[in-house]
Amino acid sequence: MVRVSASGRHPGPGLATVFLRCLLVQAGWSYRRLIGLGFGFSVAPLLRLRPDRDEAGVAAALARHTRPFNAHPYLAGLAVGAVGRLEAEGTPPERVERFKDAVRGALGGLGDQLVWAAWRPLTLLLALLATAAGAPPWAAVVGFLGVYNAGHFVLRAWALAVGWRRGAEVAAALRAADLPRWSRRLHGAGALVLGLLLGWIVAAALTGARTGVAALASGAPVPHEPGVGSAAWLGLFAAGLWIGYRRGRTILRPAAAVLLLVLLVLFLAGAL
Amino acid sequence: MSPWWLVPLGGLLALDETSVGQVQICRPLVVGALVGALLGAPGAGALVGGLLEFFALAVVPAGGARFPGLAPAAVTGASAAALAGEPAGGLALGVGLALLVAELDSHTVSAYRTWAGTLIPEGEPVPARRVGAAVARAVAVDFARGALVTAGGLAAAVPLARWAAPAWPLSFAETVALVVLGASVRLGALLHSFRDAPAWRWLFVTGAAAGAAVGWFA
Repeated sequence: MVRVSASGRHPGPGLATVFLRCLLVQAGWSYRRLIGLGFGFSVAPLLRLRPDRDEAGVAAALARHTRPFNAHPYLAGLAVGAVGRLEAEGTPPERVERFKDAVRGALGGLGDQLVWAAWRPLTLLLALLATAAGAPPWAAVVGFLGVYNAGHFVLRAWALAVGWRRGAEVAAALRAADLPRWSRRLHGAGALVLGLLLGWIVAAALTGARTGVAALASGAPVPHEPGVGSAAWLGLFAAGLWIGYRRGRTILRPAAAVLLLVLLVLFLAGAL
Repeated sequence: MSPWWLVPLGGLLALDETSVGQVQICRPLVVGALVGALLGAPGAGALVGGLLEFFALAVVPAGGARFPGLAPAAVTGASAAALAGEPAGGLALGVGLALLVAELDSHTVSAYRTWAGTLIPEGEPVPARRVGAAVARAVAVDFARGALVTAGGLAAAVPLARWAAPAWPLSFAETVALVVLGASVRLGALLHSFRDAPAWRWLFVTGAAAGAAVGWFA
């Protein structure tokens, strides 16, 4: 049973259950409800704190909370905690719905920028750089999972705690946290590490040193061939980077399709 | 170890990508190292995983966008490379198959997301246990989806590793160079996403110069 204090600072052991349920917030993601099903599942334990406390009231509230809703999975806890708080305080349903409508866009966009477009690529780039520098693949993997998930779980815990504590006032907490500034900082670090990795790869390709990407195969019985990189390769590599930079994510699928075609032609040429 | 033991692993890893946790054990870098180790070729698996990561770094699974699925694709690619026994052909086959399976996986995710909208009725009171049961069903179906895509990928990878990989005409180093070239567009797209950082150009150029210097003298 979840306990709630007047200040909301000590929500009781139920918040741990809600935290674990939030790990499933994307289960049943659908075009019709987006994360609505997972949101309802996550907030359900807090709905038992409603003043009416009866099963019919909880079922009616769940009908509302499984409607379409969207947020980044790591930040969804903020809405879950806040909505749980509002329901526990007996806030009228229409006000709760207005609150959800107000936060859903921000929680999606902020999370995508902070996590998917900044924290994740940065930690992966660091892991790739470590591997290129000669770290064993398992060490890079363990390092990546450890560092990435430290940030991941801190963000999830912060979101749920702030949502529960602040209720409808979470907007002020979000503004104070200034997540866009964190995103920009992480993007800067990402640009630096991407530069390091690409510079290393190009130098390794031109000199034939067994570093860079080739070092990823450390331990594999592969032949060492110096000087594969050439001015033509460097030119094509730079052109690819430029095209990708100019076109952004719209170019992702065509780029993969071109490589697939080249691989297929080379396989056929080799077979014939 | 038989590669078919990787089918349930593909299901579990696909869950991490879409439904449960998102702790990123589904990333190609992780999956490649794991699958390579399980199949007795850690270097080959890690190499394919690392290179596939170049293709995946710029992907942002925002909202309802259809994005390439990673986990079953990486299991397939790393398996092909590990089973080929021939580094260059295995690498080319692994990367090619992984890119294909990633696209196939994205279509199964779309179908799953259409189906998942029917799990509970709209506009009616829903008992909490029914919501819980719907979530459990969604997780089970998503696991099955990931396992099925992985099985499809392995069904192609196992015979092709034996028959197609030896036909690959390029050397190992040339193959790595070709794949990195193919990934360059996606790495450019990643740089595009870093543009809102202050002084990002200086940071990138400084990093590139330092990386080149280290790589040159290493």
